[in-house]
Amino acid sequence: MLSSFAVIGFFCLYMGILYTLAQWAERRAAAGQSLVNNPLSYSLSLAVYCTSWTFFGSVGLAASDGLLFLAIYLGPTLVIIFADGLLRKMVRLKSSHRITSIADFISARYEKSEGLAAVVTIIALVGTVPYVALQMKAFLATFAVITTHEGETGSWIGTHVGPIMVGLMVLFTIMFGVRRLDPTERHEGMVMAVAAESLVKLVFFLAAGVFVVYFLFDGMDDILNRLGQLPGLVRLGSGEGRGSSALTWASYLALSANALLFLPRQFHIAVVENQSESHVHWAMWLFPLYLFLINFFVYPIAMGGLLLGYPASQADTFVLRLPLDFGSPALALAVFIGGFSAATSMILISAMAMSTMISNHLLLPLVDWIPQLVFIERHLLKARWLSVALFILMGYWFELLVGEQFRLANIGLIAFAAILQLGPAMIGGLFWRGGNKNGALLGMTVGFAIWAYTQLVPVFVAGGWLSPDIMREGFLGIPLLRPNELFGLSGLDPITHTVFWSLLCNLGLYVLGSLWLEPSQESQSRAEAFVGAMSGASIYRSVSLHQAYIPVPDKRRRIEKLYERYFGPERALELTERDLKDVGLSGKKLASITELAELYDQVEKSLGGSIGSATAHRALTRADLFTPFEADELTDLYAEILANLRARPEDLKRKIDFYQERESLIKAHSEELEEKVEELEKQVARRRAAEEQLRESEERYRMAIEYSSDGVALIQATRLMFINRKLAEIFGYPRRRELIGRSVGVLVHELDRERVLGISRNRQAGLEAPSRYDFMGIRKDGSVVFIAVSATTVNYQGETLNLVYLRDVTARRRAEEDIRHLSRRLIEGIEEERKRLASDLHDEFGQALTALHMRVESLKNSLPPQAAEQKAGCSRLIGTIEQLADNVRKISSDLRPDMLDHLGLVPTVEWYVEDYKARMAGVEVEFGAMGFGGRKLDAQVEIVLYRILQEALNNVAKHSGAAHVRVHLTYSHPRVIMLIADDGRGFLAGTEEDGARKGIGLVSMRERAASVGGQIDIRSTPGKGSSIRVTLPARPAAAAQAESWQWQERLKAGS
Amino acid sequence: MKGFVTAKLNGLGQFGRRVQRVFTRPAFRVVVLVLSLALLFWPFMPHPRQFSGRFLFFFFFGAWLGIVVLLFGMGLSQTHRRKSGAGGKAPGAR
Repeated sequence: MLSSFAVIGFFCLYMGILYTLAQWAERRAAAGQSLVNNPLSYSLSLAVYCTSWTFFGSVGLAASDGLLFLAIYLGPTLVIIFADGLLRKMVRLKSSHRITSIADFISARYEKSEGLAAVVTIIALVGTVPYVALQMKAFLATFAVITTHEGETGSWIGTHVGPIMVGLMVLFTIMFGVRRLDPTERHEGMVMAVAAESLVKLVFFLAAGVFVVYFLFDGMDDILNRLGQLPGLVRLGSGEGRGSSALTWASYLALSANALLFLPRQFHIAVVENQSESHVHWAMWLFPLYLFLINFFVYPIAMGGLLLGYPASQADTFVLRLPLDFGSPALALAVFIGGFSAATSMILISAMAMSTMISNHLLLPLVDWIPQLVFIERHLLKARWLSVALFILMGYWFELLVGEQFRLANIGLIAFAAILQLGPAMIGGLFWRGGNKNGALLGMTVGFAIWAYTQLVPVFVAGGWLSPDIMREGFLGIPLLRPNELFGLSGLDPITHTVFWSLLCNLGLYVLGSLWLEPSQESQSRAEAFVGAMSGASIYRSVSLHQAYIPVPDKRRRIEKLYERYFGPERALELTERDLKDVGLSGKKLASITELAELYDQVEKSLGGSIGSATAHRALTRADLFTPFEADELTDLYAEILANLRARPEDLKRKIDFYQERESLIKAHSEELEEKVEELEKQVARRRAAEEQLRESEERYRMAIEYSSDGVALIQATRLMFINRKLAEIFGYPRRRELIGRSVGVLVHELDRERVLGISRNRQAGLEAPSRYDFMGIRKDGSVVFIAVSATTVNYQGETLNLVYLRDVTARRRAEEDIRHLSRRLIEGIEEERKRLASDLHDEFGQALTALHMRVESLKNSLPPQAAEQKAGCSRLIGTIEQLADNVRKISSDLRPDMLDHLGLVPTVEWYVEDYKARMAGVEVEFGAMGFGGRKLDAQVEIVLYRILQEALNNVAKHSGAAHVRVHLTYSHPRVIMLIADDGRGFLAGTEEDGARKGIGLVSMRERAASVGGQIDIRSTPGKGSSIRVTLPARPAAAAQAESWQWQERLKAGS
Repeated sequence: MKGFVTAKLNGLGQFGRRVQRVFTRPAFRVVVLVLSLALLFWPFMPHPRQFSGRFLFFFFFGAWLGIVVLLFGMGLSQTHRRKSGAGGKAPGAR
């Protein structure tokens, strides 16, 4: 005994190995190196016929009915004699019609009837469920045998092995065969697994047989010779009992022969999975040989078990019990695995085939009828998975229902009898042209009903679902309707009874139904295609797809008629002939389906050009250019192309969608590119024009720069990158290249070199730098030249450069200097003259007045008292002299205040302010000074400041109307600053008023300040007063003198 | 193996070709079927049935083996014929 866990573990390990093998086969197939495309694999896969029934049930049947079990395998052996005409025909039809199941096959034969396909599917489903139940029962029984011992019987796995088995079977079926949707429904991996399982079950069964015959007994003779030792066993081998009935024998032969070809799993393996017709010829003898070998030890094992004292009721498990009970658990496990292989291969293939049939012939038609279920179409694969699960669950349910009441072989025979109902329609469809849909449907339905009544009713009675009365008294108490004695026929075993009535009715109604109803032309065409599939003269589809058999004149008439509706007879004739000529059918009598398709397209295009494609399509559809049969032919052609592409419909659709989408994208992209190209061409044209303009502009600028009156240079940091002709000329260089690449320092006098280079570096570095400045240049001959610079930065070829304009201002500077010098001299002369005049007035005229005053005083004093009138005249004269003296002093002071020379600037300004206040009543003048500390300024500076103060205060008095004036002097070495601010009406700089003021005093003030090297800043806002800020050097004389000397020297050198 | 069988059949010469022609005829298959059925039903014919289990075992398996041998011949004949004739890979086969 083995533990449940170990057995399940072996089971999973075994399935894992098989799955690996299947994956390997699929990978090889994908690489074009099929492992199953050979006769041996095909023959071994056909051995899926040998299920648990063979492995266990045959022994059970042999124990009870002798050699009757052989009929189950002799039937296939006999029918395979006609494999070349039967099986090969089905294979060829499968290939030409893209058939995926037996329901599909029958439907294709009988006008593609969906109803017939659905009936076939239902029969196959109901008929196969007992077969699955048989496998379940065998597995559960053998599992119990191999695992049951003390302490193990109550294990969880042991009590739940049924559901576990169901779950694993569903899982493995999906993994092996329903992982994806495949239009060809071929599964090389699963075929490989089935072939391997066939080999495993054969080897292990032979091993079990050898063990029983040669280890438990002394060979075959020993067993066969000892049969007579046991009373009752002789008859088992003598052909008596149930096995003795020739009718039973015949019915078993018929059932098994039919089952080999028409069981859904057998049809799938033998027809759908077939890859070459030549494999059929090898399978003709390889498969019967397999059956021969696997059955050779069935009878000896059964007899051996009985001889060893085992009850016949346990015969189904003899093959497992004997090794287990006689010290060979490893062999028992191998046998269990072999039996398991037999069961799983059957369930896998059956579930897969049935899921295809259920989804294609029950579910999808249902979706067509019920629009609300259309979502199922998007989940077809999942629907198949669900079908697999339901199918296996139904098998398990059936096993639970009747598993205890029926032996394995009996359950299998029920299934065989159901599938027998497909036989007449299949055989008739292949060999009788008169067979039609109605006959097939009628015969099949009635045959199936009889099967259900004679086989299922007893099963349900045994399962307790129906009353046993129906078995004794018949349906509704009618004795003729007893399920086991239908219409009073008794003496037959139940299977033979069912076979007799169902086959009789099925076959009879099939023939009568087919003869009674007139077949349509479509039906005749299909019958011809199927019956004559192996005949070269027939309309064999796979050949016809490329052979001419369609009458062209008929199509010509239809096309002409179609054209006449729109163009009239003559034009229609012309167009028809042109279309026929275009597709190469002109003058031909027959066309192939592909040529007809081309003609259809050509006509649609011709018509579409005149009436629009949609209208043309509708018109062509109504014209019935394709008969339904031809339409199917064309569908098959496309299906063949699809299969040759090895693509599933959804894959192909995806590819088509992908390519269509890609085409549209490419088209859109192409249009975009064309637009872009057009745009680019425009841009190129614009750019060319711009470049031309730029060239012209550059030329203009180049010319402008070249012939500019100013020197122009591009400077990188301090290096000259470009100079124009004028610049070279300014600096006395005859050739420009002498300067290109050199430092700008060579053009700058050493006194200004560091400053100029610093400015250039700062500007290029983005630092603050003056945009206008002057410098003293040096010519090639060493002479000095004064340069005014205007500079900025430009981006040139990705670099920031200094663009500088240089103007030779030597002459201007010379004139300015001359003017300034003359101006200074003039001011100095004026001041000197004023000073002299003041001095003369003060010294000479003042002394003369003093002397006159003294003389008049003396004269007055010398007059007698009586000369009062003369004295009064002297007094008046004295007054006049004094007034005159005051005026002289005042004039002298105005010309040149003595205080300035003697006391300095601050007391003089203070005095002047006081005097101003005295003269200008109502004007408050505030004076302040700081930083002087008794310091005496340069006389020129003092006089300049004094004169500017005078002028400013005079302007205040004349124009501003100010009430408050602030005068402030500040000494801040080396400068002295004077600020004069008022709160008057102010003025706008640049206005007429400003001009008037300039004309009067401001210009004079600026000139005076400039004469000592100072500056004046005048600010004014209308209504808010004005301010004048004078900044002068405290010691201008030395600086001015030095500068004057320097300039003079430079000018001398430059000139 | 095909080559071996073909060589053997060719080696049989005229006899081999005749055998091959006979084996590939549909009528021959019918004959084989009829004979097989007759053989397989023969044990049911006599009455009373006096055959032992041992006899029936060897009879049936012997007959079965004979049928397999005939099938072997028919299969090989078909294979040999198809080498120069019709047939081949099933349309659409991968």
